[in-house]
Amino acid sequence: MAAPLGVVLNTVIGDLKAVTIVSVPPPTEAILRRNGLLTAFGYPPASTTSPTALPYQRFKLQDTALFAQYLQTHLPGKGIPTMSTGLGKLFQQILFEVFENAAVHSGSHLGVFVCGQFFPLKQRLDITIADAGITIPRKVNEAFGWNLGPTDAIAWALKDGNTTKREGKPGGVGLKLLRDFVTLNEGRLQIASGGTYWELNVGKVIIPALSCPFSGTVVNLEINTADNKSYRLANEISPESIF
Amino acid sequence: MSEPVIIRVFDVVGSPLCVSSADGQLVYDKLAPLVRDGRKVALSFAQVQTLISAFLNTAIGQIYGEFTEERVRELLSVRDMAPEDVALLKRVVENAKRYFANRSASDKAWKEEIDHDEE
Repeated sequence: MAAPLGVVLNTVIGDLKAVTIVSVPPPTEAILRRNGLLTAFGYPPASTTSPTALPYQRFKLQDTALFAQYLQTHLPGKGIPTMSTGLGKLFQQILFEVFENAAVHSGSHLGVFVCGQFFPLKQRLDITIADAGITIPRKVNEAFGWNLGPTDAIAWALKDGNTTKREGKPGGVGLKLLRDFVTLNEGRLQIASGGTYWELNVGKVIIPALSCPFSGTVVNLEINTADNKSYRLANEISPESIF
Repeated sequence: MSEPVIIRVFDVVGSPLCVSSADGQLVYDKLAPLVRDGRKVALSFAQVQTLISAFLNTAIGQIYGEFTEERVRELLSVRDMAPEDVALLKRVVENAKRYFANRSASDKAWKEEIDHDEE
C-alpha cells in the first residue's frame, strides 16, 4: 500500500508543504525502505532489495513505456509462470488496462503510483496502481450531469460497455475484463475512489463504508498465482467473423 | 478483387506493446482515410505481443461511428493475431456496435433504473 501513501504524501507536497517522515517503527521502516517509498522521502536506501517486492515507483501519465519496463523488470520471479501465454499474458494486459484507465480518465497531475508484493506462501501477488486525479464518482456525475451516490457511480463504471468518454470513441471494456479476470482467477480486486470503497473477493462484491475519502483512485489487484486454469477460449473465434 | 492495403500495426506503433489509446489513434489515422476512399485494408498484428481494449477501441472500435457495419465488414480485415487477441477484438467490436447504436438510450435507461431503485 505504498502507492496510495505516495499519493497522499505527494498531494501534501503539491500544496507546497514540506513532508518529513519520522518515528517509523523499525519493521515498517525496513519494508518501506526496501520497496523504495522512504528513500523517495530522504531515507537512505536499504542495503538489500526485497526479492518479493515490486518497488514503489511514480510514473507520468504518458509513461506507458516506462511502466512496461517496470513490469518486465519486476514481475519475473513473482509467481507468474510466463508473461507470454495464459495467465501471465492476461495479467499483464489487465495491468496495462488499469494504467491506461488512470492515464486517460484521472487527469492526475501527480501521475500514477505503483507498488506490489508477492506472498510466496499464500501464492498471492498484489499490485496497486493509484492516482491523485478526478475520482470515479465525480467523473461519472460530471460526464452526464447526474447526481449519483458514490456507490451507484462505481457500479455504473464497472458495468460492461459503460464509459464516460464522449468524443466518439467507445470504451468500458477494460474494467469489465478486469472484473471477469479476478472472478475467474479467484483473486481479489479492491477499488477506493473518493468516498467509495468497492471490493470483489473470490466472486463476491463487498461495499463497506470508507471512514475517510481518498483523494484520487486506488486499484489493488491481488491475483492467485496458484491458478493453473487455461485462459484460452474453448471455441476460438475466426478472424473472418469479427466484424 | 483488389488486394487489400496491409497496415502493419507494429510498424505504426513502433513497439510490440499496443497498450495506449494514443497509439490506437495512430493506427486509426492510417486506417480511416483508406476506408473513406473505399479501399480494402488488412490490419496485420504480426510481432505485436500485448494488446489491450483501450488500444483496440481507438484503433478499430471508433470506426463504427463513421461507417456502417456492412461497409466495415466489406473493407476491413485482420490477420496475424493470437487467438486470445481475436477474442478481445471481437468483444471490443461488439461493444462498439452497441455503443454507437444506442449510446444515449442506454445511459438514460441506466439513470432511470437508478432513480427508480432510490424511490
